[in-house]
Amino acid sequence: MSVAAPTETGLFLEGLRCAGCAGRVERALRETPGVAEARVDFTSHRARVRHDRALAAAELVRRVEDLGYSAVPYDPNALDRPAERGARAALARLLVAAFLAGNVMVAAAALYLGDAGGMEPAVRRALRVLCLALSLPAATWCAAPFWRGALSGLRRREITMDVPIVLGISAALVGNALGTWSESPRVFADSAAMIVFLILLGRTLERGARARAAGAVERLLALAPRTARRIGARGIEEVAVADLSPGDRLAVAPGEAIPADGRVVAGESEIDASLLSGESRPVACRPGDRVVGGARNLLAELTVEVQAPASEGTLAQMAALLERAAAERPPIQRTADRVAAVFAPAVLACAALTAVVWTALGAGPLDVLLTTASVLIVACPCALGLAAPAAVAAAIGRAARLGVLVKSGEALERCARADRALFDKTGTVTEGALAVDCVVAAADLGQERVLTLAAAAEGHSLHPMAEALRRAAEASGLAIEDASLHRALAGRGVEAKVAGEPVLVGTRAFLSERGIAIPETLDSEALALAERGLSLAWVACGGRAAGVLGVSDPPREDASEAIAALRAAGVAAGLVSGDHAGAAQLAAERAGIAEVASDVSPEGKVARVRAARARGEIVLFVGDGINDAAALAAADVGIAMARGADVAVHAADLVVRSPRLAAVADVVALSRATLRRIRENLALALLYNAAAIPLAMAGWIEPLTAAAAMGLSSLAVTGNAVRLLRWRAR
Amino acid sequence: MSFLALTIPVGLVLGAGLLAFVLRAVREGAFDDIEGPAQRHHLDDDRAPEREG
Repeated sequence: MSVAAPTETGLFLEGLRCAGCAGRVERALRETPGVAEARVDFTSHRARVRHDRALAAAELVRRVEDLGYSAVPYDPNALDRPAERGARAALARLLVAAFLAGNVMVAAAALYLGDAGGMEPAVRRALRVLCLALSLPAATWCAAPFWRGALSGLRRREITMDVPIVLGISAALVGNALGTWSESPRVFADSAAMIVFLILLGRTLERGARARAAGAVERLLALAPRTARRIGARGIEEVAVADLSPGDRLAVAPGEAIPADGRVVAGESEIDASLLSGESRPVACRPGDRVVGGARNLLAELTVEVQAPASEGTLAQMAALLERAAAERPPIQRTADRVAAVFAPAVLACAALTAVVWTALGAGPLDVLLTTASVLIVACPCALGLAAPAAVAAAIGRAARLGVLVKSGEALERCARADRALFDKTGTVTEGALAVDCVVAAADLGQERVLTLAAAAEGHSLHPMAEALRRAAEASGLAIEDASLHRALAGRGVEAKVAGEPVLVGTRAFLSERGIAIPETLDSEALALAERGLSLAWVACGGRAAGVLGVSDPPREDASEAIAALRAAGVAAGLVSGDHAGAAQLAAERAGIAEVASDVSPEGKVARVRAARARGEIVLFVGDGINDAAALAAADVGIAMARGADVAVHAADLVVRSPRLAAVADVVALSRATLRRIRENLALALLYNAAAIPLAMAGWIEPLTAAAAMGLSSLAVTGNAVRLLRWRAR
Repeated sequence: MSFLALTIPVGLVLGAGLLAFVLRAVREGAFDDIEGPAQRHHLDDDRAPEREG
């Protein structure tokens, strides 16, 4: 097999805001050496790239990420084809039905006009035969999905809504044939084809709304690790996670997610595996231990041997779980579905009653047939079935554009009823990035020296403290020396050698443990910093205390705006933090949250959520942290800020991908608007059926009017739902 | 009324021809993405590629 043989890779794209973004990504992909062709589909947020086999999928991902979007490779053959083919077939059916119905209608119009103008019987008969001939493929091939639905339902001994539709179409067709045969003066030639066309039109519009919802679920899967670094004979290479096979050895840096289920072969670290076990605290792991794909490596580099391909791993199973969750129908819709389920047999009963009564009253077979067809068609509770799904699909689509992925319609419904929101602090109300606020140096050292020492000791670690120190040192224009013998000790701090001197950075207890005396002046200054709500990092050098750093985590820019918006919507906000009282108080004050609980363990957060629920409140929990997975799951609605650990996503019902905290307030408002739309839709649909069925039974509605009315009721409901796509906060 | 014998078949044939043309486009995926292409062409042309360094 030649290396240059072309292959095709699909990419899920995240962060495309407009079609212009799609164009930029497409150009970047095309300009990548080795790419033969690239196409970005803005509607589905996917790219398909044809390229040399030598070009790794990871390189394509990097190109997209360079532009500020993110991408996840997938196998286009596995994913695209069935859905795309389904959509194309549906479009083809609609177009053919439109053509047939259009022509039938012209012929029927000629028949109506002919009645007035005195048409020759031969022409008249020819036109009627033409109408029948054109209606036949419409009633069979174009209506095939309804026939299939009706038949498969009957095989399960269920009367689905397809049964009355199919019977209605058949009745119209038979009426058409009878009319042609008996040369009746009444013209119903256009009914069958028009009925099929109108119903298909409604379905196509509905499909459009649903496609957007499906896109949201696919993007959720994009939270899984994207690429892996495989250790090969010629060093480390980046590969797509889908290409991993059992036995591959992977390098996993601290801060990265483990790409696939496997076993540790080298390195010691802590991992966060709450994804699998629900255990939210980090777990130590050493060679021989099993690790789960998607779990986050926290401390040190690990070498992991893959045991299961990604497609069969825990993460893939989780993805399947999420897809099921998204397909689940909200409770309000389940009520509507129950109504719809008794509706279909009831419609058949009404139709039978109509036929019997009309025959008894002495109507001709043609009139009986056409009136019955009207009842069957007009009674279709399509609008009732669409009421909630259309609104939920539109809301999911709208939420996705707000940067919020909705995992289930049910959660959206609960979200609308929320009356309390509990927020985690770090990474939720705050940016989750520490910043050095002030530096206190021991008597004989300068502040800059303390900062450089600490930054050097932390080295290139991905730990938030290390990043804060690096940023602070760089901001003051200080050069960071190289450290050796860097070692991170979980929960305590780091030690390293900087310029030959041992340097410690960590908690006060860590320094004491190493026998370092802390001068009283430093202690009292540290106490003052702690009282201001700052977190402390102690620094020691050469066996002596060198200074102390006051670090805080500033709140998100729009935190107070978000809290105020929630309060205005009648949702009380509370802060529940694992951090100490000072830090929690500081963040709450800056964000405008009155109710604060600090030093709360992960179990404590769960207990608080449960207590609020026990009081009868509907509780939102907004968190990101490793510690929050349990509280997210315990709340009525768990909302995860996805910038944090990917695992929080597992337990959450909604995932906020945008850095805006106000997205939480937006989604609450959106969910309320959605519930309003669902209620309006249900009322609209019930009103329609309640009014239309008696009219049809009385013979006041002809089959064509019935089809148009049915289509209009579905369109009214869908249109009302689609308004949510243009929804704006406040 | 005899004009109908001509106009209706001609209309049907023309319509069917157009329908076949559109159906071929559907099969080839012309309607899979109806938003992107409208934006694509002017982005291809008037902006210089953004390169780093």
